[in-house]
Amino acid sequence: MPDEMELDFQSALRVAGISIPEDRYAIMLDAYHQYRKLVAVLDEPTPYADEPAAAPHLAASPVR
Amino acid sequence: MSAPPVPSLAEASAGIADGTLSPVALCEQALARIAALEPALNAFILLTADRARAAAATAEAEIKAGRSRGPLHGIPYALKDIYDVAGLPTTAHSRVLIGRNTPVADSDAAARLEAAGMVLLGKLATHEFARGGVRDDDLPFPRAKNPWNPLHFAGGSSSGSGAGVSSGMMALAMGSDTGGSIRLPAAFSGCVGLKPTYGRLSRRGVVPLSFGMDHTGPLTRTVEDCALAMQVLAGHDPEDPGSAPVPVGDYMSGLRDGVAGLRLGYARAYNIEAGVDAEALAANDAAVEVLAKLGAGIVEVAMPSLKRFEAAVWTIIHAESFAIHQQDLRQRPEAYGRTTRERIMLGAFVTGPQYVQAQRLRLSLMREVDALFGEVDAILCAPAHGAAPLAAESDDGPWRRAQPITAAFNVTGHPALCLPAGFAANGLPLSLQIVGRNFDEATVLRIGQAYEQATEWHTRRPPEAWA
Repeated sequence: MPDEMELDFQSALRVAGISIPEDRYAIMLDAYHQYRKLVAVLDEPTPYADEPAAAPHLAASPVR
Repeated sequence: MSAPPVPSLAEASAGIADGTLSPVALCEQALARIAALEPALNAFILLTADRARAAAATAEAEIKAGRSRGPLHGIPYALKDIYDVAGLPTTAHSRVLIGRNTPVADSDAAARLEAAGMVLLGKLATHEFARGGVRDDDLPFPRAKNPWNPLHFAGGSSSGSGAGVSSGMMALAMGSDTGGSIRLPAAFSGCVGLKPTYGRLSRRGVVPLSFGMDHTGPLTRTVEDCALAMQVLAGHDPEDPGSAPVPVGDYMSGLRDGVAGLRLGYARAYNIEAGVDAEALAANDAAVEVLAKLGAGIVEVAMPSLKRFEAAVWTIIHAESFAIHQQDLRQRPEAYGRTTRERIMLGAFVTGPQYVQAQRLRLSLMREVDALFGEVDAILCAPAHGAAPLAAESDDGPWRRAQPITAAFNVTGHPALCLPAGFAANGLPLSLQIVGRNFDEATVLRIGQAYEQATEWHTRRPPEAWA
């Protein structure tokens, strides 16, 4: 019976529209576990006003 | 060995300028060196020998006619095979692109180097799409080998660039760096590699991996050569959305000004947190001592936690690389090598909020590291955990046991130079990383030049017994 993490893993693959060969399933599931551990730091609270680095820097629009 | 290594850019430039070196002869020397070493190193995917001979003859005629295009005119170079050259296939070392990607225009880097009169030798091996690993039994071309010991990892993803420069096939090769892919091959192959400031060099015409983290840059034998190349390569490109409209620095005039009066921050605790091994740590300690003896002030600086860098960089790289490759991964996954396919598939696990949080964390890390430059002129740290590991022991799965520690400066965008800084007991090169203020490549190169000239590491050549 898959645990909650494995169900999340299967769901992510389904949503992305990709599949994994059976012989690589356990290795990719382990990679998923490792990734979830890595990004735990992203759950730390962030002030509302902190903007992302990818915010665009606009130049003036062209004029007619 | 009947084919000696090619001279440095600076040596070749001086020889061509005073008439003692012919571009045609230099091109033949490079081709002979490649012919002698290539069977053992696999640095090249595509050798363009006829094109090179024709370009060298043209350069020689132009120079003889008094129409020199500058210091790099008539000197050979090569490109990682993710850079476009009009009329030549760009494969990114992948079956995915073979037969379906022959560009009609040069990448910005190729255009600049060609305009400078350089002579293209060909396209170099890479990790597939700059994301794969050492495994090559399911790729269309073999992986490049480490010139110091072919059993060891050459570093990646600009593996052919590092192997080609370090072995003396060419004095300049272009690489790209999304998490360390210029600096790691430079460190493991014992040459110089510069990841310039994000936006300093154009990425136009270069196969992308991660828009927010991709940098282009040179690998060279010496720091002076790196400065010479940067003088040609740097510039704003309005066709690259990440390109910065910042005036180009003068990388040559202050190169020999030394380090007296500079204040350098040694991120020793960061090295230890990252798990840098005893040999590499000792080499970095010794390098810092050399710089202190040259007159630099040294202080220790505290970098943000490596875990925060890793969360930001891999979330962004996973998500962006998956966005680029998702159609092919769904429709023809078998066209990718297994390592590449599985590593890019990790992007399927990134949620929208995680991607945004990673971008917010990135901005915070950029500011925290940038603040250190209010106290020091450069940061010193190791680029790798140690010398190149055995290829057979390198990660080829989707998740790497040891993530590259170079990636911190892909997150922040600061310029970072790697150069030889000693040797491990097994004879493989060790390296020092010098990180500078945004768009201050000139100071990074100046520090590198002072260190290089005070040591003899850069004069050592890989053994040729295996060739």
